[in-house]
Amino acid sequence: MADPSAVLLVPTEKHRGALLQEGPCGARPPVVVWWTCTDHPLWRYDPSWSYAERTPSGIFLKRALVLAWEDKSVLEGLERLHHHATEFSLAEKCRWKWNLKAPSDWMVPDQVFEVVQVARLAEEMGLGTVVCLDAEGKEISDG
Amino acid sequence: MNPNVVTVLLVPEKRDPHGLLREGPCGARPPNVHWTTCPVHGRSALYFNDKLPPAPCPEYACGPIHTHEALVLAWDGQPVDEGIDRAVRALGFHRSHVYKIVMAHLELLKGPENLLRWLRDDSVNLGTLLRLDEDGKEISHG
Repeated sequence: MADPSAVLLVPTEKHRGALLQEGPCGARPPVVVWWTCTDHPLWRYDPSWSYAERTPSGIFLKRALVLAWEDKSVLEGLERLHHHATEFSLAEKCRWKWNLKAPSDWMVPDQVFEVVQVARLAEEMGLGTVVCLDAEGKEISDG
Repeated sequence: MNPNVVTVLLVPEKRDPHGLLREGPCGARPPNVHWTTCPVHGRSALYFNDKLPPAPCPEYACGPIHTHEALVLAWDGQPVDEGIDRAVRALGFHRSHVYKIVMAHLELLKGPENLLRWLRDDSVNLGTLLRLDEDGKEISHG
């Protein structure tokens, strides 16, 4: 797989609210929407749509939490994921495998390939589906 | 712990040098409020949208009001993850980053007093910490 430029997590329906919804006092996670209104559909941030659940005509919007963007990790997205995954693992008695080392060794991923690893752990837990994009915004397959 | 503290705000230093209120990529935004106080009566009002904050006193006769934009660390008596993450990140990005976040959460769960002390004791001065009661009035530092 080519090196991704962006890493997204498309939440399952069960986890969509916890991962994408706005927090108190205007707090917002980084969210992109699957934009299909052009000849070349792509993931992009759109202030009009990224935080809407559906279009006015009732169609659900496909949205994703941004974990890396333009070759950089996005801390706000990783923090949102980490908080929810920790709570979910405690409630469901499953293991959130990120940051199992001693606290002094904990690290936030800095490189995009590390972000992919974290995203894969979230996918294993059933929180969503990982989508990797190249520099042009095209999805990169695992093959 | 003062049981009346329901809101904990962090007012950044001038020009927000630590980026406490800076927006992130793809719409990421920290929790923030505009906070106004009346210098005469001590009344205050909180707003957390893009509108101009209201005057805290209805009679408008109290002279110029003080207005701040602040990062929200606790709201309705509950810690606000996004605000705490942002504040702790500004303290320095290094290997103990996540550890510090967790510690901040634990301290706030014990009581806002502990978080305030923890942030004050750090070598980086992030700004001014404000504690408000349920009526939006500032509680003086003990």
